[in-house]
Amino acid sequence: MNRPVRITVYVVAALLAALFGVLFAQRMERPPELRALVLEAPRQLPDFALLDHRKEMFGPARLQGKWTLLFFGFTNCPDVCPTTLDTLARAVTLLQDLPAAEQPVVTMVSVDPMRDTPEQLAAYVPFFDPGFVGVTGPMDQIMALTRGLGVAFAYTPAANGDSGSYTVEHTASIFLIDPAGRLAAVFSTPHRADELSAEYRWILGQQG
Amino acid sequence: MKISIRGPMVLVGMFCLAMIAACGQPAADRSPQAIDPWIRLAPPGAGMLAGYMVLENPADRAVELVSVSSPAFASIEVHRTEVTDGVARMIAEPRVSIGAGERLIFEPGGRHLMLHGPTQALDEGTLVPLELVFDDGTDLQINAIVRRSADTDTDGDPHQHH
Repeated sequence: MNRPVRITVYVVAALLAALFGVLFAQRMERPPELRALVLEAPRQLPDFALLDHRKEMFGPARLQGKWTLLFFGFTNCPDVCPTTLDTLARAVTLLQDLPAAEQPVVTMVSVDPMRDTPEQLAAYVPFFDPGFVGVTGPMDQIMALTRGLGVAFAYTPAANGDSGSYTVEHTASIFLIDPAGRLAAVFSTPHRADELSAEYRWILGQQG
Repeated sequence: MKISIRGPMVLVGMFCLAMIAACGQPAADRSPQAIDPWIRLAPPGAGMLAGYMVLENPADRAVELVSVSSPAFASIEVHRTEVTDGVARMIAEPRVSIGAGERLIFEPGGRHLMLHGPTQALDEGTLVPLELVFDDGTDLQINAIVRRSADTDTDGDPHQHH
């Protein structure tokens, strides 16, 4: 390589390094269009007693000491729930570089406990990611949690008119619970894996 | 004398045949088409799946999609997910119209084929035959591939497609 060519190569390499440096620095800053609603004062959750897909107790204690991404859904849901679980699986993959204690635990709470038994959830929720947790339980206990988070759900007969067949309208937002078991932020639809992971990083960064 | 008449007649006949051939071919291409049909991979035993695609109507008149069926499902309906005040609900669209030269987008978090009661295991990569019937008589046979995610990371973001 002659001298002018070598200088050109060095200059290009330096420019590329600078460009990557700028891009990397930007990733750590506040996302330009933060869509998540971040609570100024995290909100305490009410008491509730539910079961996870391994039939283990799932109450407020299970939200302590880790970050949880909480989502409400049901396994007979064709579009919204699988789409959200798939998006969350990809978001979690994008966060794999974080220390274990900072990686979120994704939990889907069923709003259809009549059909969603722990067995049903065990076959469904971990399919999207082995670390995902499915939660169900008595209706009054589910409602204790949904009321505490402002989650709405309602049953409507299926359009095909099958007797006994119904679908569930439900809040499709994702709720971020902090390691003290309090509601810290709400992500509204539409959910995107890259946006969710970037905003999650930023929110955690704010906790110092 | 006879020859001078038959000459132009043959030419007219050939011209007519050429016109029929020329018109017949584009007519077939101007029926509705499905682009990238796919079905989201679901956990084994799931009773409800969703299918997505883009339907294109190249014709100069609107067409309506009147039915969708498949031997792989008990029933198929067109639904649209609508989010109001954060609450997602499904709106049935029994007859959905595609304007002349327009596209109808089926995508995660929006319009979708609600696929009820799979009659067989649908592993990743399976090609699922679907039959789409339109009000202009078009009977469109397509194969939807079973896959885990949409192709891009814009899954669930309708703004990316506009």
